[in-house]
Amino acid sequence: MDTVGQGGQAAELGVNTVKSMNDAKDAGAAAQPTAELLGPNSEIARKLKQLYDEVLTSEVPDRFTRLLAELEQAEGPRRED
Amino acid sequence: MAVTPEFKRDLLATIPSLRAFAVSLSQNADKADDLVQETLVKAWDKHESFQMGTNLKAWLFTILRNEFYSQMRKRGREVQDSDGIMTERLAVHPSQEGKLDLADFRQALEKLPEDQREAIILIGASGFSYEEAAMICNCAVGTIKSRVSRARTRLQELLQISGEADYGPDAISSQVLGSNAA
Repeated sequence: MDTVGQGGQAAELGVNTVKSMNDAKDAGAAAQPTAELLGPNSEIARKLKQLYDEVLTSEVPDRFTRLLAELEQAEGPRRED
Repeated sequence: MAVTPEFKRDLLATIPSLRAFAVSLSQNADKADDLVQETLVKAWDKHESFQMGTNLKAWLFTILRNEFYSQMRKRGREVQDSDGIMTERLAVHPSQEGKLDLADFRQALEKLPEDQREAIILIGASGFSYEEAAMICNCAVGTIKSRVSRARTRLQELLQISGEADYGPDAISSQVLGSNAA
């Protein structure tokens, strides 16, 4: 497949990202960035979360479960990357 | 290698977060869901490069964000037509007694430059650390911090220090306090 080049790059970045993130997490989990920068403006932080949660808690459209089922089917026994 | 049931399950579980982030990037519900769809397909294709046990959510956010900006570059700026509900409805009025209407807030958020908006969303709403957000946005931690800080300041300006407050005590006191801010 010819998307491999571009996508592969993104995926590679993703892997590195995740590794470093886990390191970062161990070191800085206690930093609580939200409290640090958004805390003094808790109204902003609250509205931000409220807006985000509107989508977060809304029902996931069927198209996505259908999509994953299709991907799974398309994968089949023969497909190899 | 086939996608594992665990990977599929985790993918499904992350969809709500992906949708919320996609909406905040594209500011359009339909485009957001297309973006999520692209992300899921890419993630599925690239699943072997994901290491189980690491941060899948961050990995997926990275893919989604890359996809968003690559589409933006392809299509040019005209894609920035957002849902009517978000742009048209109202002018931002000076808030009354510090009370923030959610619609006003949404509109103010939309006025932020993309880099600032995504930073404040990742930190303030998606729950990522600065380090994680920096990885997702492929930039330095300090850059994320300053974007969040500028986003916060701009939101304050848009929501509180507009209208008559421009020359009111708020502007002065925030200048004084501002010099102290991190």
